[in-house]
Amino acid sequence: MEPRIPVEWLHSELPLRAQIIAVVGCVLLFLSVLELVRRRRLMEEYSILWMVVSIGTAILAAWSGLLLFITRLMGAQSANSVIFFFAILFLMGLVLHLTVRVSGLAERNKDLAQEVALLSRRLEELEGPR
Amino acid sequence: MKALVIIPAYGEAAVIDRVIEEVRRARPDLDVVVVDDCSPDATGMRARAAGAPVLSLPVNLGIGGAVQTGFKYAAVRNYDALVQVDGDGQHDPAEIGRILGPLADGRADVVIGSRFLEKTGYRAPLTRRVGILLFSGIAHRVMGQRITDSTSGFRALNRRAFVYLARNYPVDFPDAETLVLLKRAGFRLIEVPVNMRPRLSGRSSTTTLKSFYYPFKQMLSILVVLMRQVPPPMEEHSFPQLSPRGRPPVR
Repeated sequence: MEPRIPVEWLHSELPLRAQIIAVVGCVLLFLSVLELVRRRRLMEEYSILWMVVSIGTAILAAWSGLLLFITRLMGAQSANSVIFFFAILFLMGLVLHLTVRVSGLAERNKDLAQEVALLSRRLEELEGPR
Repeated sequence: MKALVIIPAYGEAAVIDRVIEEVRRARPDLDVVVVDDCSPDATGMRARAAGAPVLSLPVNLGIGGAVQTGFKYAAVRNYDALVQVDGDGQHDPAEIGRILGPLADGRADVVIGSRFLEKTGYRAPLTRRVGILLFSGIAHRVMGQRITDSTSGFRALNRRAFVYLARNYPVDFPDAETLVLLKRAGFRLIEVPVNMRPRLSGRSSTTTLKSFYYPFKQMLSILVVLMRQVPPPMEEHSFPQLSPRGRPPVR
């Protein structure tokens, strides 16, 4: 395959400092997800998602060869755009999922509100006017 | 025929007692229920003071959710028919008989009181007219039936129809797609001419911003109703539970 990308890019490693920052960021993300689950602020279902993302990102940051391999596989010009591509894809998927969740919750909320109205009328009848 | 008049109301404290009084005077044989859609004013209190049973929603659901609350109430309490009258006094209770007529002699399942079927003095705002015209064009193609006043809130439904809507109701923009849904589910729709009075108070639920957004939303929702499989009406028209159970868990 004729490389369209300067050869030195593909074989260059990410700067060590950038790697360290990325890995530390992932570890922090992972720990805060664990903490949120422990405090029951985040459902397990979502925690798994975030854990996978943080581990995956950490692997890519530590093992830059893998990232460069994927870049070449996709025929992309730079590793940066590969990272951004997947990050945006992930975020859009997540937002779509959340709007689906919100729609379901809104429907349930409506049903509950209607039921409360019917029940309080029933209660009013049984107890008589207060 | 045991019929119920439902009056959805939002912020109608100034006139709600007058509307209740008028309905009672026009049709003392019918039961009345007011659905207070979490009004910020004393609508619920005034309606109770006027002696009507009130369903007080704990949160504001919008007109669709409020009307559906009335459908569920009528379903649980075994009414045979239901008339929907706006809480702002736009609809003349003297015409309830005209709307209930086709239900009583079994000519239709759903009756819509139309302002445009006969020449009346009523002129809807321009944006509203565009929306209505658009709908009647689409509806004519989709439903094979002309509906002149898709946004009318003066309607009557028989038990089969309102139990159906108590279970499946497009609540976010309830006008047009409800009609398409009902038609596709095999209900017979009919329009009768009514006069519309200027509202006694309050504002239309359709604001200026909404009326720009309305045609788009309306077309989208009709499209969605067409793409979806329409749930068939149940043979059994009882409604034993307050709300349809077995809704899949939100996942």
